[in-house]
Amino acid sequence: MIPRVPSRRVRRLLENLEAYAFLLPAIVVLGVFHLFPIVFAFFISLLKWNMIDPVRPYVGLANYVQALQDDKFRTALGNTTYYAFVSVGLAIPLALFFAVLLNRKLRGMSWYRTAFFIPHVTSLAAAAMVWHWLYNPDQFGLLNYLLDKVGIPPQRWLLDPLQAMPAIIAVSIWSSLGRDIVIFLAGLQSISQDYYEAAQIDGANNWQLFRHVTWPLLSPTTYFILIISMIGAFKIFALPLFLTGGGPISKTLTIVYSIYQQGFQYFRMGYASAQAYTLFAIIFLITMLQRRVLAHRVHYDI
Amino acid sequence: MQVGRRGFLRIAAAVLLLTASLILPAGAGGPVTITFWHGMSGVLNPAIDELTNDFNKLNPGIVVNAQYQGTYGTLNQKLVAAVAAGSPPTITQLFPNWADQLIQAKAIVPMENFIKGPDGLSAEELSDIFPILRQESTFNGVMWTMPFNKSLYILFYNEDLFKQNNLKPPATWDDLLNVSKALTKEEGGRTTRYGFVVRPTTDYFLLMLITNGGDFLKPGGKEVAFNSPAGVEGLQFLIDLVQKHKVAYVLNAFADADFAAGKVAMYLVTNPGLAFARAAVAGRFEIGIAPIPYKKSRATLLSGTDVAIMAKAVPEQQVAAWKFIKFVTGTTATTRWFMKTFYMPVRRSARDSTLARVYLQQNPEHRAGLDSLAVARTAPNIAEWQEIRDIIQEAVEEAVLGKKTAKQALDDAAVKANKLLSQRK
Repeated sequence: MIPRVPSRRVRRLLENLEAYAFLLPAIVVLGVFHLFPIVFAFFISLLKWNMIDPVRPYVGLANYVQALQDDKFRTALGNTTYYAFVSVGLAIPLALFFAVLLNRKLRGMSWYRTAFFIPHVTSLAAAAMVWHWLYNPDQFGLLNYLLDKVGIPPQRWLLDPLQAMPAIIAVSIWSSLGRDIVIFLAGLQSISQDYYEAAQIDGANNWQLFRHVTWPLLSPTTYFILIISMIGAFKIFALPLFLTGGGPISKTLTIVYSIYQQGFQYFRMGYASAQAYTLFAIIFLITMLQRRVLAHRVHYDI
Repeated sequence: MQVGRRGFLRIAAAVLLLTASLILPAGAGGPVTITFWHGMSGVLNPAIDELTNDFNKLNPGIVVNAQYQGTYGTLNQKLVAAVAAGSPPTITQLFPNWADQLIQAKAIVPMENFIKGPDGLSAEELSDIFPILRQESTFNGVMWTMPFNKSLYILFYNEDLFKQNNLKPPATWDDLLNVSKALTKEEGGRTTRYGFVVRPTTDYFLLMLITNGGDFLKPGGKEVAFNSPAGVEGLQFLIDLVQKHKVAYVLNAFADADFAAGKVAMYLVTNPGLAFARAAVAGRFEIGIAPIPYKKSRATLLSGTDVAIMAKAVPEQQVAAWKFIKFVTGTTATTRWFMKTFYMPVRRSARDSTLARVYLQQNPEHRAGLDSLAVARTAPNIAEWQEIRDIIQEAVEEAVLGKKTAKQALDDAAVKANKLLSQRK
């Protein structure tokens, strides 16, 4: 029997079918856990719904109006902005500094790199428990123990309205530093040595090498880290959840924490979804702004 | 291993049958299986397993699976998610303000249906349950839930310390201040022991409010009343203990560890806290129990959860669930539950039973808790109360941290709480 030669169309379909088969798991997961919730959340942001009441009246944009008038949501917005700018503002220079230090040929360099990366692959929940102990407000906390050694009275850290957010920022930098360093290192290693040699022949010193070769050529990497760090920072949730519960007196209440509180503690799903969409709008605006202001300063080559 | 086509089919059939038997409901004649979701952790968990096992042994036709779901907060989240997904348990533990929400959503069935049903309770059996507990389970005149693990606030004190200093447990606020002064100890400019501890929580404040003659809501229930002069004075009293008299400190955690370490001589806690305090103290000193010190009126705050039967359960499961609830809240079980966990017995007959009498003779400190039941008050059992609790909590923190005066903090909280109440259907 002569096998029938499939037509081109069928053949292409079969080829694509294989591709679709490989894509299917990802499509299903993204569809069920990302796309559907995104669409559904917008739908319920227009309702007043507590998840279990069969009656869920349509309220239009009332939830959005409420969010804009809600003192607590505004507090969360302020706290999150403070967190985002301070944590990203400190993390990027620090990461760059360590990346430059680690971008050398030294014995045992891979050990140092690993050491910086470990916090990033540690479960944040587990790490937060450890930090909770370090920040213990009486003299048993390691930080207060060290302060006591140099004669400084014990601090209340996570329980102090002024110290709580900086304490959270410190943990978040500790945790994300490794990721930023690795991305910076990749950026640094993709800069051709030729530029450095040429600059050295022209008599450039170390600072000038950094300022006129490394910094501009690293700008795509810096830009990338800035964008993803900002987006990540506006979504901060796990650390306040584990370390402070949004307290003291709402000083570490962030937007996502507020969404969680409204949605899963007070079961106001409609209002929580409206806050989530408001957050999306904020992140979208900030990212657009960054593109506008910074994109033309990014050099992809000299 | 070589498996022929037939062998394969046989295995497939076996697997299919096994799976089917696991997921399909048991046929007629098989035992009725019901699930009981609870939040009883630590030392309380074995107590609940024991109750369940006893019931299962006595009732061969019913299998109760008691399942620990995490803290009360987690239990609430899982419960709402399970109701939304259409797969709730048969019975759940729940706070009165959760019940309000579940009733509105038609997710639970009234306990009254079963109390008045064929296998129900007689009038005496029903009125045997303490009135205050029945009141907290009643919504719009219908009893929707059954009181199960109910507790109330009492004062724990270090009895050895009191004896050494010839002190009596404080009955009033003034006593509390004076005793705290006597027991606060300084060494080298550092306070090594405080008389009292202030946890900046809603309940610490509410206790001061009600022992000062204050109320939660204004008559009619449309507005809150916690920012009354009684409330302001109560909050100020807590702040003064810390800042003016320096006989107490602020702690954002459970106090049993500090109490056991001798850092504090007294604290306020609910009865089951005794199991945790005993574990922490480990016999180093005797733990005394006294009613909450008062200023204007003796009072304490009722706490703890009830049980409810879910509407989604099939009738046979609901009947079995009622049987279980009737058992665990019956005189014998609730007496044993009290002696194991120190939760309140829910019935007068249990409190007055020979078993309890003998137990109280050997452990007279429990009398304080049982006696407090007569003056116990219940917070409003409305869904909004859960968020109002958080609002009060923040006001207490603001005042304790000195960000606002007691009056300002409570007035601001009242505005927010009233706004919530005004939206209530």
